Amino acid sequence: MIRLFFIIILFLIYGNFNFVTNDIVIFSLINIAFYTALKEKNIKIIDVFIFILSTFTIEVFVGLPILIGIVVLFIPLLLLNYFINNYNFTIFIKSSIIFLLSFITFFIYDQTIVFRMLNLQYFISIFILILIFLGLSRYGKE
Amino acid sequence: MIKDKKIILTYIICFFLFLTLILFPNYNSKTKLLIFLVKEKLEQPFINTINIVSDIYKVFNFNSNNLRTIEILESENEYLRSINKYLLTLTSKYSEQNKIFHQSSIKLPISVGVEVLGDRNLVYNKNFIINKGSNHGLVIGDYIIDGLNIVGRVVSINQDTSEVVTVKSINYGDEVFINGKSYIVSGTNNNYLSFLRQKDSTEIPDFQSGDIAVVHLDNVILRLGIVSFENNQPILLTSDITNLENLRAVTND
Repeated sequence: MIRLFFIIILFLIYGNFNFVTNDIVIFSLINIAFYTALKEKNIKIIDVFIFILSTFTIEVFVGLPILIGIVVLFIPLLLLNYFINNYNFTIFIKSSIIFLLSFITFFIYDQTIVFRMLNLQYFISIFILILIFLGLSRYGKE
Repeated sequence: MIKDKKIILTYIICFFLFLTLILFPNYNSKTKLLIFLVKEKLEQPFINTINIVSDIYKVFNFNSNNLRTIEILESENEYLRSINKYLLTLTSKYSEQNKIFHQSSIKLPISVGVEVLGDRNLVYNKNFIINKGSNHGLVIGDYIIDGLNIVGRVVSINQDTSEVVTVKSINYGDEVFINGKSYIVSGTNNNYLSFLRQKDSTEIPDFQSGDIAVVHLDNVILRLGIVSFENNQPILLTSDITNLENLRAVTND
Protein backbone atom coordinates (compact mmCIF):
# COMPACT_ATOMS: atom_id res chain seq x y z
CA MET A 1 0.00 0.00 0.00
CA ILE A 2 2.87 2.38 0.83
CA ARG A 3 4.39 1.79 -2.60
CA LEU A 4 1.02 2.33 -4.31
CA PHE A 5 0.56 5.55 -2.34
CA PHE A 6 4.05 6.71 -3.35
CA ILE A 7 3.42 5.91 -7.02
CA ILE A 8 0.23 8.01 -6.99
CA ILE A 9 2.02 10.89 -5.24
CA LEU A 10 4.94 10.73 -7.70
CA PHE A 11 2.45 10.57 -10.59
CA LEU A 12 0.90 13.81 -9.40
CA ILE A 13 4.20 15.55 -8.61
CA TYR A 14 5.81 14.96 -12.03
CA GLY A 15 5.91 18.09 -14.17
CA ASN A 16 4.68 20.49 -11.51
CA PHE A 17 8.10 21.45 -10.16
CA ASN A 18 11.57 21.97 -11.61
CA PHE A 19 13.54 19.40 -13.62
CA VAL A 20 15.51 18.26 -10.56
CA THR A 21 12.22 17.09 -9.00
CA ASN A 22 11.30 15.35 -12.26
CA ASP A 23 14.61 13.47 -12.12
CA ILE A 24 13.93 12.46 -8.53
CA VAL A 25 10.40 11.27 -9.46
CA ILE A 26 11.68 9.09 -12.32
CA PHE A 27 14.52 7.73 -10.20
CA SER A 28 12.12 6.94 -7.32
CA LEU A 29 9.75 5.10 -9.68
CA ILE A 30 12.64 3.04 -11.05
CA ASN A 31 13.71 2.30 -7.47
CA ILE A 32 10.19 1.16 -6.55
CA ALA A 33 10.05 -1.10 -9.60
CA PHE A 34 13.40 -2.75 -8.88
CA TYR A 35 12.72 -3.06 -5.17
CA THR A 36 9.37 -4.74 -5.92
CA ALA A 37 10.99 -7.26 -8.24
CA LEU A 38 14.00 -8.02 -6.04
CA LYS A 39 12.80 -7.74 -2.43
CA GLU A 40 11.96 -11.40 -1.78
CA LYS A 41 12.30 -14.81 -3.34
CA ASN A 42 8.61 -15.53 -3.84
CA ILE A 43 7.02 -12.69 -5.76
CA LYS A 44 3.33 -12.14 -5.07
CA ILE A 45 0.76 -11.05 -7.61
CA ILE A 46 0.39 -7.63 -5.91
CA ASP A 47 4.14 -7.07 -6.39
CA VAL A 48 3.77 -7.77 -10.10
CA PHE A 49 0.94 -5.24 -10.34
CA ILE A 50 3.00 -2.62 -8.50
CA PHE A 51 5.92 -3.37 -10.84
CA ILE A 52 3.63 -2.94 -13.88
CA LEU A 53 2.15 0.27 -12.46
CA SER A 54 5.50 1.90 -11.70
CA THR A 55 7.08 0.90 -15.05
CA PHE A 56 3.91 2.02 -16.86
CA THR A 57 4.14 5.45 -15.17
CA ILE A 58 7.80 5.78 -16.20
CA GLU A 59 6.97 4.74 -19.77
CA VAL A 60 4.22 7.35 -20.04
CA PHE A 61 6.42 10.11 -18.60
CA VAL A 62 9.62 9.31 -20.46
CA GLY A 63 7.92 8.44 -23.76
CA LEU A 64 8.89 4.77 -24.03
CA PRO A 65 6.63 2.14 -25.65
CA ILE A 66 3.98 1.19 -23.12
CA LEU A 67 4.49 -2.10 -21.19
CA ILE A 68 8.06 -2.51 -22.48
CA GLY A 69 9.26 -2.57 -18.86
CA ILE A 70 7.33 -5.66 -17.79
CA VAL A 71 8.00 -7.49 -21.07
CA VAL A 72 11.74 -6.83 -21.31
CA LEU A 73 12.83 -6.44 -17.68
CA PHE A 74 10.66 -8.86 -15.73
CA ILE A 75 12.36 -12.16 -16.66
CA PRO A 76 15.95 -10.86 -16.24
CA LEU A 77 14.91 -9.40 -12.90
CA LEU A 78 13.42 -12.73 -11.83
CA LEU A 79 16.73 -14.41 -12.60
CA LEU A 80 18.58 -11.73 -10.66
CA ASN A 81 16.10 -12.15 -7.83
CA TYR A 82 16.87 -15.89 -7.76
CA PHE A 83 20.59 -15.11 -7.61
CA ILE A 84 20.38 -12.39 -4.94
CA ASN A 85 17.95 -14.10 -2.60
CA ASN A 86 19.67 -17.51 -2.76
CA TYR A 87 22.99 -15.99 -1.72
CA ASN A 88 21.40 -14.46 1.35
CA PHE A 89 23.12 -11.07 1.07
CA THR A 90 22.85 -8.50 3.82
CA ILE A 91 20.23 -5.77 3.45
CA PHE A 92 23.03 -3.26 2.81
CA ILE A 93 24.37 -5.15 -0.22
CA LYS A 94 20.85 -5.88 -1.48
CA SER A 95 19.89 -2.20 -1.28
CA SER A 96 23.15 -1.22 -2.96
CA ILE A 97 22.42 -3.62 -5.84
CA ILE A 98 18.90 -2.16 -6.22
CA PHE A 99 20.29 1.38 -6.08
CA LEU A 100 23.04 0.68 -8.63
CA LEU A 101 20.63 -1.08 -11.01
CA SER A 102 18.20 1.83 -10.75
CA PHE A 103 21.00 4.30 -11.32
CA ILE A 104 22.25 2.45 -14.41
CA THR A 105 18.69 2.35 -15.81
CA PHE A 106 18.24 6.04 -15.09
CA PHE A 107 21.60 6.77 -16.73
CA ILE A 108 20.36 4.99 -19.90
CA TYR A 109 17.28 7.27 -19.97
CA ASP A 110 19.17 10.49 -19.40
CA GLN A 111 22.93 10.43 -19.85
CA THR A 112 23.42 14.04 -18.82
CA ILE A 113 22.69 12.98 -15.23
CA VAL A 114 26.42 12.41 -14.63
CA PHE A 115 27.22 16.03 -15.47
CA ARG A 116 24.30 17.24 -13.38
CA MET A 117 25.39 15.06 -10.46
CA LEU A 118 28.67 16.93 -10.44
CA ASN A 119 26.66 20.11 -9.83
CA LEU A 120 26.95 21.44 -6.35
CA GLN A 121 23.24 20.95 -5.58
CA TYR A 122 23.26 17.21 -6.23
CA PHE A 123 26.77 16.62 -4.97
CA ILE A 124 26.17 18.20 -1.57
CA SER A 125 22.87 16.31 -1.14
CA ILE A 126 24.50 12.96 -1.95
CA PHE A 127 27.52 13.73 0.24
CA ILE A 128 25.32 14.67 3.22
CA LEU A 129 23.13 11.57 2.79
CA ILE A 130 26.19 9.30 2.68
CA LEU A 131 27.62 10.94 5.81
CA ILE A 132 24.28 10.54 7.65
CA PHE A 133 24.11 6.88 6.64
CA LEU A 134 27.67 6.17 7.75
CA GLY A 135 27.20 8.05 11.00
CA LEU A 136 23.98 6.25 11.88
CA SER A 137 25.30 2.82 10.91
CA ARG A 138 28.38 3.32 13.09
CA TYR A 139 27.13 5.32 16.09
CA GLY A 140 23.37 4.91 15.77
CA LYS A 141 23.01 2.36 18.59
CA GLU A 142 24.84 4.43 21.20
CA MET B 1 10.98 -19.67 -9.23
CA ILE B 2 7.39 -18.55 -9.86
CA LYS B 3 4.87 -20.55 -7.89
CA ASP B 4 1.84 -18.43 -8.65
CA LYS B 5 0.21 -19.18 -12.01
CA LYS B 6 -1.49 -15.79 -11.97
CA ILE B 7 1.91 -14.12 -12.41
CA ILE B 8 2.65 -16.10 -15.56
CA LEU B 9 -0.84 -15.33 -16.85
CA THR B 10 -0.36 -11.59 -16.12
CA TYR B 11 3.00 -11.64 -17.92
CA ILE B 12 1.46 -13.33 -20.98
CA ILE B 13 -1.41 -10.80 -21.08
CA CYS B 14 1.07 -7.92 -20.77
CA PHE B 15 3.22 -9.44 -23.51
CA PHE B 16 0.35 -9.62 -25.99
CA LEU B 17 -0.89 -6.18 -24.96
CA PHE B 18 2.62 -4.82 -25.55
CA LEU B 19 2.70 -6.45 -29.02
CA THR B 20 -0.69 -4.92 -29.85
CA LEU B 21 0.47 -1.46 -28.79
CA ILE B 22 3.69 -1.81 -30.79
CA LEU B 23 1.80 -2.94 -33.89
CA PHE B 24 -0.77 -0.15 -33.55
CA PRO B 25 1.20 2.97 -32.43
CA ASN B 26 -1.95 5.08 -32.51
CA TYR B 27 -3.31 3.20 -29.47
CA ASN B 28 0.06 3.69 -27.72
CA SER B 29 -0.16 7.43 -28.28
CA LYS B 30 -3.85 7.58 -27.28
CA THR B 31 -3.12 5.73 -24.04
CA LYS B 32 -0.36 8.19 -23.21
CA LEU B 33 -2.64 11.16 -23.88
CA LEU B 34 -5.43 9.60 -21.82
CA ILE B 35 -3.07 9.10 -18.86
CA PHE B 36 -2.02 12.75 -19.02
CA LEU B 37 -5.69 13.76 -19.10
CA VAL B 38 -6.29 11.70 -15.95
CA LYS B 39 -3.19 13.29 -14.39
CA GLU B 40 -4.49 16.77 -15.14
CA LYS B 41 -7.93 16.00 -13.68
CA LEU B 42 -6.39 14.42 -10.55
CA GLU B 43 -3.94 17.22 -9.85
CA GLN B 44 -6.42 20.03 -10.51
CA PRO B 45 -7.94 20.02 -6.98
CA PHE B 46 -4.45 20.08 -5.41
CA ILE B 47 -3.32 22.92 -7.66
CA ASN B 48 -6.49 24.88 -6.90
CA THR B 49 -6.02 24.33 -3.14
CA ILE B 50 -2.37 25.43 -3.36
CA ASN B 51 -3.40 28.49 -5.34
CA ILE B 52 -6.09 29.40 -2.80
CA VAL B 53 -3.70 28.98 0.14
CA SER B 54 -0.97 30.99 -1.57
CA ASP B 55 -3.48 33.68 -2.48
CA ILE B 56 -4.66 33.96 1.13
CA TYR B 57 -1.05 34.10 2.31
CA LYS B 58 -0.27 36.82 -0.20
CA VAL B 59 -3.36 38.80 0.77
CA PHE B 60 -2.41 38.76 4.45
CA ASN B 61 1.17 39.72 3.76
CA PHE B 62 0.92 42.29 1.05
CA ASN B 63 -2.38 44.03 1.67
CA SER B 64 -0.98 46.93 3.64
CA ASN B 65 1.98 47.34 1.30
CA ASN B 66 -0.29 47.18 -1.69
CA LEU B 67 -2.50 49.99 -0.40
CA ARG B 68 0.49 52.26 -0.22
CA THR B 69 1.76 51.12 -3.60
CA ILE B 70 -1.67 51.65 -5.16
CA GLU B 71 -1.61 55.31 -4.22
CA ILE B 72 1.77 55.77 -5.91
CA LEU B 73 0.71 53.73 -8.92
CA GLU B 74 -2.51 55.64 -9.37
CA SER B 75 -0.62 58.87 -9.92
CA GLU B 76 1.77 57.08 -12.33
CA ASN B 77 -1.22 55.48 -14.03
CA GLU B 78 -2.74 58.83 -14.83
CA TYR B 79 0.48 59.91 -16.48
CA LEU B 80 0.78 56.62 -18.43
CA ARG B 81 -2.83 56.85 -19.60
CA SER B 82 -2.14 60.20 -21.14
CA ILE B 83 0.91 58.74 -22.93
CA ASN B 84 -1.15 55.71 -23.97
CA LYS B 85 -3.78 57.91 -25.52
CA TYR B 86 -1.09 59.70 -27.50
CA LEU B 87 0.44 56.39 -28.66
CA LEU B 88 -2.98 55.00 -29.59
CA THR B 89 -3.51 58.02 -31.80
CA LEU B 90 -0.15 57.40 -33.47
CA THR B 91 -0.73 53.65 -34.01
CA SER B 92 -4.22 54.23 -35.36
CA LYS B 93 -2.65 56.44 -38.00
CA TYR B 94 -0.19 53.66 -38.97
CA SER B 95 -2.98 51.10 -38.93
CA GLU B 96 -4.92 53.26 -41.36
CA GLN B 97 -1.84 53.53 -43.58
CA ASN B 98 -1.40 49.76 -43.46
CA LYS B 99 -5.02 49.35 -44.54
CA ILE B 100 -4.50 51.71 -47.44
CA PHE B 101 -1.29 50.02 -48.68
CA HIS B 102 -2.21 46.39 -48.07
CA GLN B 103 -5.97 46.62 -48.57
CA SER B 104 -6.53 44.76 -45.33
CA SER B 105 -6.20 45.23 -41.60
CA ILE B 106 -3.41 43.64 -39.57
CA LYS B 107 -4.07 39.90 -39.26
CA LEU B 108 -3.46 38.02 -36.09
CA PRO B 109 -3.59 34.22 -35.94
CA ILE B 110 -6.77 32.72 -34.50
CA SER B 111 -5.38 30.77 -31.62
CA VAL B 112 -6.24 29.10 -28.37
CA GLY B 113 -4.14 29.25 -25.20
CA VAL B 114 -2.58 25.95 -24.14
CA GLU B 115 -0.87 24.67 -21.02
CA VAL B 116 1.91 22.09 -20.91
CA LEU B 117 1.24 18.93 -18.92
CA GLY B 118 4.16 16.92 -17.54
CA ASP B 119 7.79 17.64 -18.36
CA ARG B 120 8.38 21.24 -19.46
CA ASN B 121 12.14 20.91 -19.67
CA LEU B 122 12.33 18.56 -22.69
CA VAL B 123 14.92 16.44 -20.84
CA TYR B 124 13.85 12.93 -21.82
CA ASN B 125 12.42 13.66 -25.24
CA LYS B 126 11.73 16.72 -27.34
CA ASN B 127 7.93 16.31 -27.28
CA PHE B 128 5.44 17.62 -24.74
CA ILE B 129 1.76 17.21 -23.96
CA ILE B 130 -0.75 20.09 -23.96
CA ASN B 131 -4.14 20.34 -22.29
CA LYS B 132 -6.16 21.09 -25.43
CA GLY B 133 -7.44 18.65 -28.00
CA SER B 134 -10.03 18.05 -30.70
CA ASN B 135 -12.77 19.44 -28.42
CA HIS B 136 -11.02 22.83 -28.62
CA GLY B 137 -10.71 22.82 -32.40
CA LEU B 138 -7.16 21.48 -32.68
CA VAL B 139 -6.20 19.15 -35.50
CA ILE B 140 -3.01 17.26 -36.31
CA GLY B 141 -0.45 19.63 -37.85
CA ASP B 142 -1.57 22.77 -36.00
CA TYR B 143 1.24 25.10 -35.00
CA ILE B 144 2.06 25.85 -31.36
CA ILE B 145 3.46 29.36 -31.05
CA ASP B 146 5.04 31.64 -28.49
CA GLY B 147 4.26 35.14 -29.72
CA LEU B 148 4.77 34.61 -33.44
CA ASN B 149 7.67 32.16 -33.01
CA ILE B 150 6.88 28.52 -33.82
CA VAL B 151 7.52 26.20 -30.88
CA GLY B 152 6.20 22.97 -32.45
CA ARG B 153 3.35 21.17 -34.17
CA VAL B 154 0.61 18.87 -32.99
CA VAL B 155 1.41 15.26 -33.93
CA SER B 156 -1.13 13.28 -31.98
CA ILE B 157 -4.52 14.34 -30.74
CA ASN B 158 -7.13 13.24 -28.25
CA GLN B 159 -10.34 14.91 -27.09
CA ASP B 160 -8.77 17.07 -24.37
CA THR B 161 -5.02 16.50 -24.77
CA SER B 162 -2.51 16.56 -27.61
CA GLU B 163 1.12 15.70 -28.16
CA VAL B 164 3.39 18.37 -29.64
CA VAL B 165 6.66 17.74 -31.45
CA THR B 166 8.97 20.70 -30.88
CA VAL B 167 11.16 22.36 -33.50
CA LYS B 168 14.14 20.91 -31.66
CA SER B 169 12.98 17.33 -32.23
CA ILE B 170 14.49 15.18 -34.95
CA ASN B 171 10.91 14.26 -35.88
CA TYR B 172 10.06 17.86 -36.83
CA GLY B 173 9.89 18.76 -40.51
CA ASP B 174 8.40 21.77 -42.30
CA GLU B 175 8.31 23.85 -45.43
CA VAL B 176 9.66 27.35 -44.85
CA PHE B 177 10.00 30.46 -46.95
CA ILE B 178 13.23 32.45 -47.06
CA ASN B 179 13.34 35.53 -49.32
CA GLY B 180 10.20 34.25 -51.06
CA LYS B 181 11.62 30.80 -51.92
CA SER B 182 10.51 27.60 -50.26
CA TYR B 183 12.81 25.10 -48.56
CA ILE B 184 12.34 21.90 -46.59
CA VAL B 185 13.86 21.83 -43.12
CA SER B 186 14.15 19.07 -40.55
CA GLY B 187 14.85 19.03 -36.81
CA THR B 188 18.13 17.68 -35.44
CA ASN B 189 17.56 17.26 -31.68
CA ASN B 190 19.75 20.38 -31.33
CA ASN B 191 19.10 24.11 -31.30
CA TYR B 192 19.05 24.27 -35.08
CA LEU B 193 17.24 22.75 -38.06
CA SER B 194 18.99 21.46 -41.16
CA PHE B 195 18.00 22.10 -44.77
CA LEU B 196 17.07 18.93 -46.63
CA ARG B 197 16.62 20.14 -50.20
CA GLN B 198 15.06 23.00 -52.11
CA LYS B 199 11.54 22.09 -53.11
CA ASP B 200 10.96 21.38 -56.82
CA SER B 201 14.34 22.80 -57.74
CA THR B 202 18.00 21.88 -57.99
CA GLU B 203 19.40 25.41 -57.84
CA ILE B 204 21.80 26.41 -55.09
CA PRO B 205 20.18 28.17 -52.10
CA ASP B 206 20.80 31.91 -52.22
CA PHE B 207 20.23 33.06 -48.69
CA GLN B 208 22.55 34.83 -46.33
CA SER B 209 23.30 34.57 -42.67
CA GLY B 210 20.62 36.46 -40.73
CA ASP B 211 17.76 35.82 -43.17
CA ILE B 212 14.53 34.93 -41.43
CA ALA B 213 12.69 31.69 -42.24
CA VAL B 214 8.92 32.01 -42.05
CA VAL B 215 5.87 29.81 -42.49
CA HIS B 216 2.84 31.17 -44.34
CA LEU B 217 -0.56 30.34 -42.96
CA ASP B 218 -3.85 31.91 -43.99
CA ASN B 219 -2.96 35.64 -43.88
CA VAL B 220 -0.51 35.04 -41.05
CA ILE B 221 3.25 34.72 -41.13
CA LEU B 222 4.92 32.72 -38.36
CA ARG B 223 8.63 32.81 -37.67
CA LEU B 224 10.63 29.57 -37.46
CA GLY B 225 14.25 30.69 -37.19
CA ILE B 226 17.24 32.59 -38.52
CA VAL B 227 19.64 31.33 -41.19
CA SER B 228 23.17 30.77 -40.03
CA PHE B 229 26.21 28.90 -41.32
CA GLU B 230 28.25 26.20 -39.61
CA ASN B 231 31.28 24.81 -41.48
CA ASN B 232 29.91 26.45 -44.63
CA GLN B 233 26.69 24.45 -44.26
CA PRO B 234 23.44 26.41 -43.90
CA ILE B 235 21.46 25.78 -40.73
CA LEU B 236 18.36 27.36 -39.25
CA LEU B 237 18.84 28.60 -35.71
CA THR B 238 15.65 28.37 -33.65
CA SER B 239 14.80 30.56 -30.70
CA ASP B 240 15.76 28.96 -27.41
CA ILE B 241 12.65 27.40 -25.88
CA THR B 242 12.98 28.31 -22.23
CA ASN B 243 9.49 29.52 -21.51
CA LEU B 244 6.63 27.15 -22.21
CA GLU B 245 4.22 29.13 -20.05
CA ASN B 246 2.46 31.31 -22.64
CA LEU B 247 1.91 29.03 -25.57
CA ARG B 248 -0.92 29.23 -28.08
CA ALA B 249 -2.17 26.78 -30.67
CA VAL B 250 -2.99 28.27 -34.07
CA THR B 251 -6.31 26.81 -35.16
CA ASN B 252 -6.93 28.54 -38.49
CA ASP B 253 -4.43 26.50 -40.48
